[in-house]
Amino acid sequence: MNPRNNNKSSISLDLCLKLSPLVMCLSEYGEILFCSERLIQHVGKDAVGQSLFNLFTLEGPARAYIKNRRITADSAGELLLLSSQKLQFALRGQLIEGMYDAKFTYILTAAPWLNWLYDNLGDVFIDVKDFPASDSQLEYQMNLCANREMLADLKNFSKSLQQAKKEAEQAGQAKTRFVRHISHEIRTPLYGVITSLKLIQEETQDQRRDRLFEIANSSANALMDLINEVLDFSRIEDGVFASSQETYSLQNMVRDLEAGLAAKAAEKDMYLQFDIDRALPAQITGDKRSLQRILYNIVGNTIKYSESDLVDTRFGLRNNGDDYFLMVEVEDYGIEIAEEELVHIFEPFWTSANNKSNEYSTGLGLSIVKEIIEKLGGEISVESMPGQGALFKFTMPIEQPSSEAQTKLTQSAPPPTNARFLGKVLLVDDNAINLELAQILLHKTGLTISTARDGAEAVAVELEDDFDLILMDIEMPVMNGTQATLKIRDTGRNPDIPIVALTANVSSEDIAFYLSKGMNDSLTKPVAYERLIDMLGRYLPFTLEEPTKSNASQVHHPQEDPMLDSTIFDTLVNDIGAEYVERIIRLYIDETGPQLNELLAYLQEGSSEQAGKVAHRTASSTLSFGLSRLGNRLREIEKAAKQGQPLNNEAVAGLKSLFEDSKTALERAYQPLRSS
Amino acid sequence: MYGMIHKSIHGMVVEHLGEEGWKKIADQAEVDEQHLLSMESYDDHIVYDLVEAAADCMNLKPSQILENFGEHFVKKTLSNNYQNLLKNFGQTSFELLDNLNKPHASIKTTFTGYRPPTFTVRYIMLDEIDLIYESERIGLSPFVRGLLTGIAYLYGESLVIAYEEKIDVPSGEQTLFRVVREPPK
Repeated sequence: MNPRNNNKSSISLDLCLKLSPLVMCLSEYGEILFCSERLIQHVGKDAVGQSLFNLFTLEGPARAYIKNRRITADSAGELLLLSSQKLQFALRGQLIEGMYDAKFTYILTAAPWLNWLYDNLGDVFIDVKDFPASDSQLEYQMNLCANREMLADLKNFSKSLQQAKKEAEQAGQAKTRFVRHISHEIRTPLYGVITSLKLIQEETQDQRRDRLFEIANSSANALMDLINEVLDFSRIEDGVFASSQETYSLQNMVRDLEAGLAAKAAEKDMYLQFDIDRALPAQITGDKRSLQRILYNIVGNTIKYSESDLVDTRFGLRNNGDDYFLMVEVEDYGIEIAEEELVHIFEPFWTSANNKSNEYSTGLGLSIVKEIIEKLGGEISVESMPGQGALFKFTMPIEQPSSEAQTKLTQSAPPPTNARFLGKVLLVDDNAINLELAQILLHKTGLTISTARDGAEAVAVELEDDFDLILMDIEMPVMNGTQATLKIRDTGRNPDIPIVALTANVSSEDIAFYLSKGMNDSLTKPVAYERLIDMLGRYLPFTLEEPTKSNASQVHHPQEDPMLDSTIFDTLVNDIGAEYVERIIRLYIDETGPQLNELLAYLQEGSSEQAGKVAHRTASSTLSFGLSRLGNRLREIEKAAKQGQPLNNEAVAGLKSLFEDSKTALERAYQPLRSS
Repeated sequence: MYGMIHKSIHGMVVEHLGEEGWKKIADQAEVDEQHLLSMESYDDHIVYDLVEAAADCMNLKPSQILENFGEHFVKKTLSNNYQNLLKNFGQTSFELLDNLNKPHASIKTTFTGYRPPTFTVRYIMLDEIDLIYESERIGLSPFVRGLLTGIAYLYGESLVIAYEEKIDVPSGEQTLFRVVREPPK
């Protein structure tokens, strides 16, 4: 196609030369008709008359490469990229239709192609005078340089930040090592202080001095706890943490935990409850020491800070493919943790603004717990709803339980009443009626029973036989229940045998005291069958018997008797069965008459201590039958005798007649059973 | 002014006094930008404060510091980062001075807040020019003297400022430098 024969659309060469320093006129066939002076400096005078296509390689755009080396009007307006290795030069420019020497021609207005020149020739001088003012290549190059400079700045910036981070980390590590070293150094003399205080205390009998020693001891121990926390934290921070795997009984570990925390809980009238899911095997393999540390910390913290009267700790099993986890939840029902505090609760050195406890805290405990759990591959979280206390949840990896280990020894829900237990139980009680009642109930559970009448006998019997559980009365002649427990634990023959206190004293302080003496649990007297089953379920394996038709006796009381609590009596009858009722009532009457005589004799001769013991023994069996008035009167006498208070004469004088009325009430209540 | 100026001052100070010296000067000038970015715009007073502090520390006049800085700016900052481009603007020092407005204009197209000075070259003879420096900033003429020294070094030439004359202008600063290119010795 020839250039269009249109003067109006053509631009003159003079105009082009004003706009651009590098200008070239071309024929339709690419013959160079004219070169501007500045262009000649690059391509040489000989270029005129040559073909553009011989002199340059047309690198773009492809469609501008005209077929048969002919330039078409379609090429006008395109950005042409021309290079020449021979000339060591490259151009970028635009073809326009124009006039040269009164003929239509194509005029190339161009500029040096900077990038090609830099890429192919390197450090080359390119005169800025060759560039039209509108050409943006220099700006582009400026921007490239600026960007390179910015990139270098940012790299330097990043490098200096990394260096600063590294230095800060090193400084942090040095600080951690320093804290660890100092804590370690403080601990050694503190051990000396604690030990010396104990020794001095043992040698002094002064009450005021004892109190001061107690304070000094308690402060030194608190200081030791703090130092140990700081040490633990710095060890973990410094990467000094080793996990140890062992196979252990979760049941026993929980028992130890309960014993260790019982005193603290008792101080706040708080009850600790532990539930182990039945899906968990009796023996698990994992990091026992870490689990103990974590539980002591979380449960201990909850005792310290919560206003709840119950701390509930639940253990469960979770498996995710081949990975098995112990799931633990610690929940209290006191006031909630504020939402803004929840997000910081695991941060080191964080302490609650609402901490009402008087004890100083480093704020490291929960942070250590989180670090340990995460290092072991577990997770921890906490949630709290307004007015519902707090719930800590964490997981810890354990090994896949073996099939043998799947024997379920524990129950989270109480076993049903048709549970039949396997094992041998030693029942210890000095009260013949209580002993008989408990035997009847235990007999129903399917257990094999041996009995002992005091602590000393219990210790002797335990040495002769292998028992799975001991039910131990507390107040007994010769040797009491806690002394007997200590003896049994001391023998080391069966160190893990569960020992359960049988007692009417169920205050938190009492329970804490029993646990501190090595007992595992308590069962309240009078013993109810459901509670007995529940307790046994925590320690002994069982099977389920086919449910039989209930032989529970229906007792009808024509009228309420003020001497007898019919609910307790009915429960007793249902628990032991009607066939045993007469025998046990006879036994009670036969035993209680002489006991009351004994009690009155002690009271008359002023032996308060002895009187208190007899009153305790008699009250216990009396209340088992629901004989509330007599039972409560005996409790009053027991309490007064123990506290050395003067006894109310009326209370003592009316004992015999109360007993007579109680016997009548029992006969009356039993009558319908006999006739049925 | 853009951060490349501050960075260049930092480089010059470190070259003479080390990082400690820079810290001292930066503290004295109350400059807290420890990590200046080349293409970030900073307040002019930072440069003036740094120059004063440097003068104080090095026991020199601020004008001498500015002159040293101008030389350093060409020899180090421009040569290192804009070497390829710089040469395109002239094969001789006079050509470069004659074309100096072009790179400034190019920068301005991208960094629209950029307020560059302008340079006018009038040839007296082949080896003698009047260089007229105009800026809306005051007090930076000594910097131009340093630039001339740096440019001469860049091209391997010997430039002498025959005389220097401040031109009265209503605002900013205008200075005429009579520059003579001496033949190589």
